[in-house]
Amino acid sequence: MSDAPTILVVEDDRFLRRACEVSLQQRGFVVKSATDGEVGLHMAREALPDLILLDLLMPRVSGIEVLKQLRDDPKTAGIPVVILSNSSREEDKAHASRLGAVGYYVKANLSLRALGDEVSRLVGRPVTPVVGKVAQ
Amino acid sequence: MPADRAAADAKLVAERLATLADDTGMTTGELQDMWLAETAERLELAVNALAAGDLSEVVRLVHSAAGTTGICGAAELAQDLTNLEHLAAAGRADDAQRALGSARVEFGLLTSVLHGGLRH
Repeated sequence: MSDAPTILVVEDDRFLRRACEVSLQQRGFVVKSATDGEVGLHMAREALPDLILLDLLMPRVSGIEVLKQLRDDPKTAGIPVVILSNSSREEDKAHASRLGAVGYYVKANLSLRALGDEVSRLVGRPVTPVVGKVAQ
Repeated sequence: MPADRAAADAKLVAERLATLADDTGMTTGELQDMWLAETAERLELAVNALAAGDLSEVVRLVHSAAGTTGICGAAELAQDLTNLEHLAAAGRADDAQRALGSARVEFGLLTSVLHGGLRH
């Protein structure tokens, strides 16, 4: 069994989900993915990942609702959550922060390298340079 | 002019996909194909949702397409999609219909430009 940190990516957009998966796998993380908030919440409770990357606008259960439910559950309350959102509005960032999100990235400005560095920092793992190619 | 906007976006897309390729180990071609397929599908689903009068679904689909399009550097198209999202969110179905038509034309032009010159 791998002792690498597990990252849960909850994102309905295939492109970004896949890009995050590959980028984080390159750094040695175990990556699990969910395509909507309901599945994401279920996987978070089952897998208890080391960190969650969470989209806000998703089918079935929104990212904000996922964040609230994670925080209300003692099992998942301590899992760091980083938001991925289209919105650059300060009130949205503040809202996510009030609900306990530890990071907030605006998709249009997203650097996967910076995101990977932040994830590594948050889970206490040294940053690994991106090398080679991950098989699909 | 839509063609000028598509050309401007294509230049930015090439730069952005090169960065994303560095960060993922994927090729620009793989990333480009994935993004174009995803966006084409979202726009098609948005047409269907609009025809069905489901504006909240239009908002969700276009919001997602705008996000990915922004990540890939197509700033002009991303802005048009965001405007479309706001029209749909405001319940302005007729304006959203026109904006969706324009966005699809622009996306088609951008796709043509990219297929003409961005392959590794």
